Amino acid sequence: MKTKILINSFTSCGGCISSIIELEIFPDIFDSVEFVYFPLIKDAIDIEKCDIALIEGYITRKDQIKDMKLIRRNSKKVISVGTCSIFGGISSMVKEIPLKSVNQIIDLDGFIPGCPAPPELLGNSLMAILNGEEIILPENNLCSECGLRPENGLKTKVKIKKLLPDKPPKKCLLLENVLCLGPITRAGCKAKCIESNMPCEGCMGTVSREFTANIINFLASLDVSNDLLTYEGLFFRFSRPDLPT
Amino acid sequence: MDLYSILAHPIRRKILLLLEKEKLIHFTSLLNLLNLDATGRLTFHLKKLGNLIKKDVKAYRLTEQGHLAIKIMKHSQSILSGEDIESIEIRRPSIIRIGILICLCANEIADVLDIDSIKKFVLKLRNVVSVQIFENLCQEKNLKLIETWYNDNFVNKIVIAACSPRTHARIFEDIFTNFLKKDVWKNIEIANIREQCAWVHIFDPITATENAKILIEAAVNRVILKEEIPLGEKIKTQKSVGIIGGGIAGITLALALARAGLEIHLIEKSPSLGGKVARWNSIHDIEECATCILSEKISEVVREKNIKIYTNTTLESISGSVGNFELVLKTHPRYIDPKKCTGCERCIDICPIEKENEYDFGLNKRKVVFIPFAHCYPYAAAINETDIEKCRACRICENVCKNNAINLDETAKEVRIHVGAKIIAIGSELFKKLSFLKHDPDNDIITSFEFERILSSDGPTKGALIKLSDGNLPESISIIQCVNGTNKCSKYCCILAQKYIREIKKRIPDCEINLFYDINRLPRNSIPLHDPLHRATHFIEGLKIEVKGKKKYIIADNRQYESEMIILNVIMIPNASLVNLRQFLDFYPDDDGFMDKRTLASGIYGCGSVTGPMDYQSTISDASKVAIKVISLLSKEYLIPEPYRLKIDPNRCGLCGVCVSECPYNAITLEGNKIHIDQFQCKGCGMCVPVCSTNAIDLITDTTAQLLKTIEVYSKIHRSTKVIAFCCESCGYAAADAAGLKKIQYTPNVLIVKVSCTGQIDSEFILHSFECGFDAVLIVGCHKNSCKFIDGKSKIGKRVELLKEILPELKNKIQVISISAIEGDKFASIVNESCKKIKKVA
Repeated sequence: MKTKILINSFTSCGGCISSIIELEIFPDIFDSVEFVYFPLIKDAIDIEKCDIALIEGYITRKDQIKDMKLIRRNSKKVISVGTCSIFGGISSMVKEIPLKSVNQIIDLDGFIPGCPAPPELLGNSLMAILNGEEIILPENNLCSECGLRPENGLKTKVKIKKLLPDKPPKKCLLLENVLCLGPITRAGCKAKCIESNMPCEGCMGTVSREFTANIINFLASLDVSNDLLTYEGLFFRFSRPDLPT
Repeated sequence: MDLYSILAHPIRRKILLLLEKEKLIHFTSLLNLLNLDATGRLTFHLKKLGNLIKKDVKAYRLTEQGHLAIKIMKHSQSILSGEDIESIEIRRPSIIRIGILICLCANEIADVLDIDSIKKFVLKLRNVVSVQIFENLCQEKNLKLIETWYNDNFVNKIVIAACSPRTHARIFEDIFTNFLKKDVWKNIEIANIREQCAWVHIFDPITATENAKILIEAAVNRVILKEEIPLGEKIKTQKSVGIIGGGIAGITLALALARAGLEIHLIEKSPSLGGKVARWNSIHDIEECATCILSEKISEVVREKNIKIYTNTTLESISGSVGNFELVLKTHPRYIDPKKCTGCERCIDICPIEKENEYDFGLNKRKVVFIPFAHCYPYAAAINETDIEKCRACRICENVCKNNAINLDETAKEVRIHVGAKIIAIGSELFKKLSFLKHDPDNDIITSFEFERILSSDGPTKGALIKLSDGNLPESISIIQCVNGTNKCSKYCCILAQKYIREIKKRIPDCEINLFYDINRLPRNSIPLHDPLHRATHFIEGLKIEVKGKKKYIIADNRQYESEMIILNVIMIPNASLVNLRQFLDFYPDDDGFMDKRTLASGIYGCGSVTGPMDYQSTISDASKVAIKVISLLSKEYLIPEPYRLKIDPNRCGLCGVCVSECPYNAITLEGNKIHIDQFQCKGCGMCVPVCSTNAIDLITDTTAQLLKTIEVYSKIHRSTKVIAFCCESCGYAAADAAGLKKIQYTPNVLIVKVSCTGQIDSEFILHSFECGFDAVLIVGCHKNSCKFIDGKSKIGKRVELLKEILPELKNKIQVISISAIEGDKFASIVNESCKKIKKVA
């Protein structure tokens, strides 16, 4: 019997779901899998009973909460894909709407972070779920994968002056006075941004603690120039802490 | 049923082994441990075991026959499959059984708190098996009672509800070491119900009791999370010391340490021992010729068999750790064999090439081949490595040397030595950027050190106090104090000026002397010492020197002082070699650029003016201080480290190295793909913990998990306003204790969490406190510059600042407080005030 899969996206850019289609395993997956609900490739009718539900996006409307609960009731496993669903992501920067991430509404059986989720991690995780195994996420930070990691760590106090490098970096971006969030970000994307001369922005979320707590601890240990600190996107681009109001 | 048929079934064997390990197991936990789902099956096997086990207080335990059966089982492993014996080898029990000891403290606690209700409450907590109440727990007579209680109840973790851990933790540990052995560290947690409940909420016994319950519950949760503490490996110590720098500090240290029986390697960069003191005329207070004192000391060093002297030698690299370092030294060529050279100076007489004499600060010239100074060691000629190309072109000196001591083709040699400790005593340098004061020795505007050379009998004027420009006696001399770029106190130029005034008066009694302090350049915190006998001391604002031909004027406060000689009393600045040394010695420079002693890695010491400006006397006393430290370190055969304070999970570590820069003591090093903690250097402040985003690094005593759990438990208390206070162990927590000891009453709405240093407080703790429902967070740490761990307070200050900036809703809810350990009343008033403030807002 084929495994029944449901894929739905809530408020999001749809990037993570699209990257499922771009996976290498995608064409072959049809032999063992049946998509019961996948608005991107076939007409969506009703949320049916399924084995695995993959969901993406942030919850911004009340009817989405209803759908969310319905999906939970009808599926054996619910996996959230992408940063939006678990940490809030870009959509959490909208302050007007009372927002919630998926894991605050229902229990999840696993999550795959990333904005969008890196294809390798997504493919491996999907295969693991289909085989009935647990998703294994890297427990390290990005520096463990980074090619520019300094041999002896950051020996001196790092001064941060800018958000983007002027020229392709030759050594650790932090040592070139560029703010890179690699040290507080979960590994798993193989440092793609840094390979293309961009600092890490922390889309994979953190391994432990909330993102905000981590970034405060991290920035307080550096010497960051004041004009950068006023830039709110630095702190809340992918996550906002839940404080009681 | 015979014994062998009872033991035939693996489940029954397992039950026996489990009971031996855990001593006392409830039916349900036995079910879980055996992974059985049917209660009937377990009841059947328990019945079959018969008199080998018995049921006691709702739980099963082994009888004497049971113990015998296990013995037989172990003897005849061959008849059993063996596999289950290996799988449950006798380890430490895994079921946590917590016992709680409540101390009444001679009714100090019992008078306020309702002990019965506390007892009822804590017995319901998870994993708590027994509660025992003592009149005075800290007295030794209770030892026997505690031990029987401990053994009868099969307790393996203890929570003590009594007084502050600051006063009594050591006493309790000593008591429990008798039967807990080395596990004492991981098995005890103290709930401070005396200083934090009974003594500070005397008039509100009901809320005080509630607080006590919460404190004990938090301690129970903390003790559950406590893990084993690994012990470090012991290191065999090398009974030798490497001293880098052969100045007065290095020489004094070498003598002191050699006489204590240690082997000394004295390493000096220049061709002779002596350093800066060799150039001075006299030493303040002693009024004796500096070279005389120094030459005496040098000859003592030379005579001492335990001292090996390496001149012309630099340090290339260092490896190893405290107790056993390997130093790689490079001995630069001297080109003249000091063993063959007799010091006849024939080569110097014939040498045609001249250069500036650095020994006299360039006041006169010397030959390229030279003897550094009259009392130098080794007393032999030398050529600097930089000048050798000129010498190789000339080679005249080779012909005149009768002993064939000169070898102009000598090359550098590498030497490897093993030492147990190393001392850096490379001294400092003198402030050089003097153009703003028109420094010019040819026009008699000289520095204090050049003046020393003029006074000195082996100097350029052969000890005559004359003007360098024309050789006449000066009629008026001005001394300008504290000559520096920024406002830094030289710590010695006041007494130096006194020395100069006396010296000048002695030699030229009619000479007019003016002493100037420039207020603009005067360091903020220093009080100039001025000589009461000397009246012409001027404190002026904005000093200028004007040169008109041969005449020099000091213009100050619109007045003009003519003087024939001007002495600039310069300050010491950090040694330029310090920057190079930082590559392989771990330390941080302080604000002035000198070596910060506190940040040195273990087994490395700084001595003398490398750590800051110092005069002769302070250097000598500093040397003996360092000597005591080194002797006490190396007096042991092995170095046995204390239990680790920090643990690292190498699988989670991403090697980002942020912790390396965060550690104030340089205890963490990262080399290639390995992170290493220097167990001797780590002081357990925990400042590295918050910056580790993967939680790979954590303290062993106050772990992040324990503190988060404490916050959660504390938040369960029912109050209209709740405040949580994170107190650092040495100041904040001590101040809270002081409030308790003085019985200063404060609001019961505040609950105290102990952290080792405020630098350990994670932003997550603060955010988590608000998430859990606390109305405000207080961070109570030490006063400015008095942090036990150097800069923990400033680190949390930065975190809080950032937090307030990006989450403005928390602006009025977080407060960082400075307090000292004795300010109990201040603690009480701050806590009361902040609670009132929150009520107002609400």
